[in-house]
Parts: sequence; structure tokens; C-alpha cells
Amino acid sequence: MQPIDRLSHGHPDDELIQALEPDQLVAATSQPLPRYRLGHAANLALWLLRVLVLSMTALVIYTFVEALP
Amino acid sequence: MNHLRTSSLEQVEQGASLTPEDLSRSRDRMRVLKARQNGRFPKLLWLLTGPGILVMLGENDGPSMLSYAASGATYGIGFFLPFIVVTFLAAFVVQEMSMRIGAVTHRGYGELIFQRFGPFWGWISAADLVLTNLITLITEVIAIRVGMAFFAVPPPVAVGCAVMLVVVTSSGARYWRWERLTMALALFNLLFVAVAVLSRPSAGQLADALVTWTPLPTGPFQGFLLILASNIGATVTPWMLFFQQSSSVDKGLTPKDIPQGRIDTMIGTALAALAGCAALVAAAPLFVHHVDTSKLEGGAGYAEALQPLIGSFGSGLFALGLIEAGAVAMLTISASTAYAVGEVLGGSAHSFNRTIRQAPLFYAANIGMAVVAGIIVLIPGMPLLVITLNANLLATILMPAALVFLLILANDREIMGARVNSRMTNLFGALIAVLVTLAGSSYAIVSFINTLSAKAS
Repeated sequence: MQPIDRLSHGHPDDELIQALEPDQLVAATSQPLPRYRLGHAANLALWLLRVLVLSMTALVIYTFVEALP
Repeated sequence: MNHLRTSSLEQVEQGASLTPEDLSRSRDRMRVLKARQNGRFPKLLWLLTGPGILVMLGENDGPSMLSYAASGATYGIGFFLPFIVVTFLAAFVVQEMSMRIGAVTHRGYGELIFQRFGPFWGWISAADLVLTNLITLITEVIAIRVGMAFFAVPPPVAVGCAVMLVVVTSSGARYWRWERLTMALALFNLLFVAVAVLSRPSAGQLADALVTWTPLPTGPFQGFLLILASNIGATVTPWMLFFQQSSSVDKGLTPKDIPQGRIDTMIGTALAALAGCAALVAAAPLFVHHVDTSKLEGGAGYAEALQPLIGSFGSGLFALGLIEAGAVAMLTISASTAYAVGEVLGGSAHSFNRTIRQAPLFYAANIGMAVVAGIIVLIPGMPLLVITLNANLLATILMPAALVFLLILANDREIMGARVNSRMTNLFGALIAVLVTLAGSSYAIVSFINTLSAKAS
């Protein structure tokens, strides 16, 4: 983040700054959001999905390697 | 996202830092506000279009156009023509969510996963993206390389041009400039429509296929699954989520712009579906004349095979279309990687509204991925065709995980407020996630079993 000096940077007028929504400023978006509380069921579902994705990726990689000339 | 109630000016006056990125974005926003105040809706739409058109035409990349062409060359005009339209409708549902989340939260997809679900899921999502993006970028360079080979351009020159394109468009430190340059290039995706016209399809056959979904595909089941999964991977992929959400943020979309964001995504969907269907129709003469497409070597092979059927001009346009498809995708996919890397490595700037000095990591990821892909393509003996055929499949397999996080975010009232998904959007979103999972898994399992059987016999 490199803040600029309002007076030394072409005097950005107030109207220009107002064109942005308050939570659109880089200073605002740099603040992290609080963590989402994932329930046990949701957490388990995400893990199962991850296992499925990794398994399928392994199968595709195997098939890919076997298809190599 | 109304947790900050003071105006942006009050925040700055209270000591919040103002960055050059804020200034560039506020200039773009000023034009939007004036167009809205003056009721100039065509201008408002012009100012707010971009991410939706780019993401959809960017996804009509080298391997995607090859998948559509393979559908036409293998099965002719029939089942896959309406199927492509349906996959684009699915892409619209997904991408509208990305745009809406970006406009409401002003944060990218990678950033939100990292902050809301923690570093573990954040890193995994970013790793999935970087892996698929690298493989897809390799295929984009391949598309440019084989497309230029049709015009006798040597591979090192073709690859050099591809990498230089990313470098040149990234300069200027303005999102607006990058977006407009890429959009101008993306419109050449419609070259495939001209090729389709030159292939002289029957209007009655097109209409019949779109209404009845016939003739149905025949032949080996694994081949059908490959084309099916490739076509899905050609329209809904993880990079699209990262790209549209982050570029909507970089462009400065706000909740008030969501209707225009939807129109932008709709225009992109219509143009991309048109070009995708055109690629299928353009290659359909290969099916009619029983050309063995399994022996065609990549995209240039299609252009060369089409030459005796639609003429040199048509096949030249097909090769040009492939070059364009690869070029635009290189820009958008490199950008999605750069956004993701910048967002996941918290604190680092991630915007085209920054200079290279202000956002070194962002630009290093953007240009670095293109350079790495270029180098890989130039390695002698690389199995370019096998990589191209598998790129979309990998995207299909990794997509469900990305879709589930997108659905959770789009239903997260804490960050989305009243703009959470409607029941209908959730229903379609869940259906898309299930179908994509089934298509990817089915192909992976069937091809694995077939490979084992072939090895055993």
C-alpha cells in the first residue's frame, strides 16, 4: 500500500473522492473480514468434495500419463 | 457491506490513506455517476460493460474452440449444438453470482475464500487455480502456435508474440485501458461465425437440432463422455470465477451497477454461445465427409482439414480465430492468476490501476505465468495434443469445489446483505454443481477403467 499525499498528487478534489463508495477505498478493503462459521456438516462436505476432486485428478493424471506417446 | 457508514471523503479526512489505485478508480466512477445522473443509459452501459464480455469470450479459448470443433467434426450438427447453448446458460448463472459478489463486497473471490474460510481453503483454492491456469495457458500458447503455423510463422516467433501481448497490454497502469484493449481483441472471436457461414449449413438442420437435440451421438461411450466433459470444461471453469469477481472489483462496480453487470454478462454469454456454436457448425463438414478427426493434430489440423471443404479463405479465418481465441484467453487467464496471487498473499496490491513498481507481485504473476507457458510449449517433444485435450477435463474436475464456495459466499448474508441468492438461483447453482461433478467424475472413471483394460489385454 502506497498512500498518496492529496496535495502533492494533482489536488484530487472532494467530488472525485466521493465518487467511490466508502467500502470501496483500498484502505477499507484491506481490512480483513471476520471468519465464516462453517458447521460440522458443511466442513465434512467440503472435505469429502476435496477427497473426490483429488481422487478424480489422480485418475485423470494416470490416464494422461498412459496416453503419452 | 454497510459496516462502514462514513462517506469515502470523511474516511480520507479522518486519516484513511488514499492510494493511486483509489484515484484511478474514482475517475472511472465519476464518469459512471455522471452518465447515471444525466440518464444517459447507453453510455452507462458502455462504461459498465467489460468483465462479463471478457470472461465469456475469454473462455472461448483455444481448447474450447477445439472442443466445439471436435463436437461438430465427430457428431455433426445435432445434440451438441443445443448442449453448448445450455452450458453457456449455466455459465451465465455462475458468472452472475461472481459479478454480484464482487460488486457488493468489493473483494475478489480468492480474497473472500481466504478471509471467510481461512488460509487452508484459501491456499487450496489458489493452488487449484494456478495449476489449471498454467495448463490452460500452455494450451493457449499451443493454439497461437498452431494457428500461426498455418501462416508459416515459426514457433519461437509465435510464442514470443503471445508473451509480448501480455506484456504490452499490462503496461499503462489503468484497468480501463487493459479492459478495452482486451475487449477489442475479444470481438474477433466472432471470426468463427464467418467460417460457419462459409461452411454453408442448412438453416432447417440448425433449427431442428436446436429444438429436438437430434441426431443423438452414436459411437463409443468414452468418446462421447470426453466431448461432453470437454464442452462443460469449455464453458464453466474456476478461472472465470476468480476473474469476473476480481475484475468487477478492479473496475469499481457497486451494488447499483448490478443490473448493468447482468446485461454485460448476458451480452458476453450470447456472443460466446454464438461463436461456440459457430465453431461446431464450421467443423461439421468434416463429419459429413467422414474425415477421421482422431488424426488431426491440434487446431491447425482442423484448419488444414477444412481447406478442401470450405476453401482457403475459410480455413485461414479458422486459423486466425484460433490465434485470437488463444490470445484473449492468455490475457484473461494470466489476469485471473495475478488477481488470485495478489489476493491470497494478503497486503499485496492486486490491480491493473497500479504501476509495476506499486504492484510487483501482481505483474510478476501476470507476465510470469505467460512466460512459463511459452517456455514449456517450446520444449522439443512436449505432448502438446494430449495436453490440449486434457486441459478442459481438469477444469471440469476442479470446478465443483470452486462452485460450492461460490454458492456459500453468494448466500452469506453477513457480506451480501439483501443481495444473497434467490431460491431459484440456488436451485440452478446446485444443479450445475451436481451435473459438472457427474460429468467430470464419469469421464475420469470410465477412461481410467478403459486404460487399465487396454493395459491388461
